[in-house]
Amino acid sequence: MRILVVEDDEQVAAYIAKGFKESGSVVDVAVDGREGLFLATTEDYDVVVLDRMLPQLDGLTVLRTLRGSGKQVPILILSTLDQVNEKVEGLKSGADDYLAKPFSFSELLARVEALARRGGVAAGGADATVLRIHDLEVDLLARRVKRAGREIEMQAKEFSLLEFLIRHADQVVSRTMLLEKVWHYHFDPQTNVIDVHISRLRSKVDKAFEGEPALLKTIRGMGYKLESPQA
Amino acid sequence: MKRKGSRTLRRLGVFYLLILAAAIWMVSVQRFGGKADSIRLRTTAEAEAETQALLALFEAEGPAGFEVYLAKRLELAAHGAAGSECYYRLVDGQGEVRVGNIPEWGEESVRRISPGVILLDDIERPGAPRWWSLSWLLQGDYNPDYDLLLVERDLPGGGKLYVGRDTEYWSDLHVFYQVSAWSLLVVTLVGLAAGMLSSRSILRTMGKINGMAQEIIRTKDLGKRIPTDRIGSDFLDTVGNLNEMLDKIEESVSRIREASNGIAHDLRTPLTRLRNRLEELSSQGRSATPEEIDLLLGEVDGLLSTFRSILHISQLEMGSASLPQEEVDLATIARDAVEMYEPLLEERRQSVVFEGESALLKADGNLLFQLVSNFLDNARKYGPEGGRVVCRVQREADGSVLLEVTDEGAGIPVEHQSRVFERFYRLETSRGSPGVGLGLSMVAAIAQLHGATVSLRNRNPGLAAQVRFPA
Repeated sequence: MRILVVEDDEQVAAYIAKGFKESGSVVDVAVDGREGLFLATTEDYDVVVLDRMLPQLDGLTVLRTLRGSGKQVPILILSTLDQVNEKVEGLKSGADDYLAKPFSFSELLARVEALARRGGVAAGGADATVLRIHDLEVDLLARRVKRAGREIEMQAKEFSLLEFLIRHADQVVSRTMLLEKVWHYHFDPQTNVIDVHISRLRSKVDKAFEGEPALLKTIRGMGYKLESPQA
Repeated sequence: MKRKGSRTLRRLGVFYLLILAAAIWMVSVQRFGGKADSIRLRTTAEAEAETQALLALFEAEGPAGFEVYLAKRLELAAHGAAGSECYYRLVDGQGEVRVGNIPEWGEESVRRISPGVILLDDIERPGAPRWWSLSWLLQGDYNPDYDLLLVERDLPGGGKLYVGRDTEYWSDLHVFYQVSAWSLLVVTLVGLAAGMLSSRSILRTMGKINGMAQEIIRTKDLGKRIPTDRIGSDFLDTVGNLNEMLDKIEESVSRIREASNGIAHDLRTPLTRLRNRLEELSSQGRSATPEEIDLLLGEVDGLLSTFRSILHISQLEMGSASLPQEEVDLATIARDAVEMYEPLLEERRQSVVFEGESALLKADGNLLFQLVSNFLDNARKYGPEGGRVVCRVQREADGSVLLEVTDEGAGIPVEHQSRVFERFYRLETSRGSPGVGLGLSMVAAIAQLHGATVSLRNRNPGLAAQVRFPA
């Protein structure tokens, strides 16, 4: 992945860049809005991570200018402005995702990977109506799930959860991402309510198929991953 | 500070008095005094003009003819036909009064104003009381005296002619003038006294307020109040408000104090646990297993989540999170929350149902979801295993919207019901269960932001937690 990080706090920028490099990406860092806008316009990135409060040119202006000039690169805003209405403002200005500071790097990585994937899918073929991983098959139109040829009964929410996981197959998906993208509520559950939903899903998708490899994995300290078994 | 304030007040009082005195002075003396002078001048001029005319007549008619004319004129005047007042006296060369209606006067009542013009004071008047006279009104009884302005002229061939004008009415003005002067004095004195008394009482009250404020500043004791005894009724409201303000300040300061104590206390436990685990790992001299790291991360995440909640509650309480003015359906939100929490409740074999109809509200959907889920989480934790939880949304007859979550647990003793909304406040009986005691604080903050009221009610068994959104 090629990632542009626009962040004026050098420590934060270095921390993010180091993390992305360790996960195998190429990272450019811009320390102010003007440089960020220049790089984002002239270079091709898979994802742009954009701070909101920047010297020279603020993040939202950079964002609007990029979108105004037709740049479709996925953009994630990383900001200390974490009120819900500020998030909404950022998303309405054309951002694809919004993460509040302070953040954990695993959360940022998961979201950036999800964004990069979406960009890739859009470039390839997003029209696939049946998504597959190993022997699990999700039919998005008929809203039916099969594993090893056997149909699995699913409730609506369980289906949405599985759909999100399979759309981001082989990526770590954090609990907050699930709250926001599957339940569509920004809130703080203070309990392991997501884990309970995942374990329900797991019992239908994995546990009910004894002898088959487990597909839905828990990634410590980060979230979950729907993954093909290692060959 | 105190000295300066009192001087200003006194100066203000004296200033007002001076203004008042000047106003009275200008109205009475300048205006009426001037008027009295001009009236006297005009009266004198009139009397002199009439005298001139009568002298011309005397020249033409001769003494006998003039005497007849004057007598006739006085007779007509006595019947009220001669128009204005007539006061005449004709004295012949021998000093004998020939004709006239002016009574005799003694030298003691004569005041010479200018050559040929004299003033007679207090001549006894026959006839009816002049009740419309200003002096009658002011003195309270009928004054039988009147004053005359006389023009005195020598007649050719000896004798004198006196032509008079009643000046009672400008004497009245004179009385008014005197009364004004007296009242000016009285007003000034009474004003001074009243001003001094009231400024004394104001200063005393201010002194009390200032003294208490300084004492509170000095001792940092917010429990002190301004005493309300011996405080003028005008200041009771002010003092009452100040004391109420102190109540509120004391309340919120003590709440902050309790909250920070709570934070310190509740965060020390997980931090100590974290420290002990790290110490254990370091003393064992080996690298941590993934499970151990997971445990430590969990501890840290818990701490972070607590801090996030504290910040979130503060932001809500400060009202800095501005409410979006879009309509959301509380029923949809509550149904979503019930659906989300159902598997969690099923772990304790609890059932949860949603009842209710659509209820549109101008509110922040995410915050309402947080509110409902905090209620559901409490119902799960404090309701009995296998119990039933009901989440209900209904629009009341008065247009308000009621959200209610009921469980079948032990409820909350009435004496604790108001305190459970405080940060980190937990009942002794729930110390063992997970959580830090912020859930209901957040509920209260969210409700307050939406102008809604929260209440708790024991159903024996069980608790009904309600939020009522105004119409």
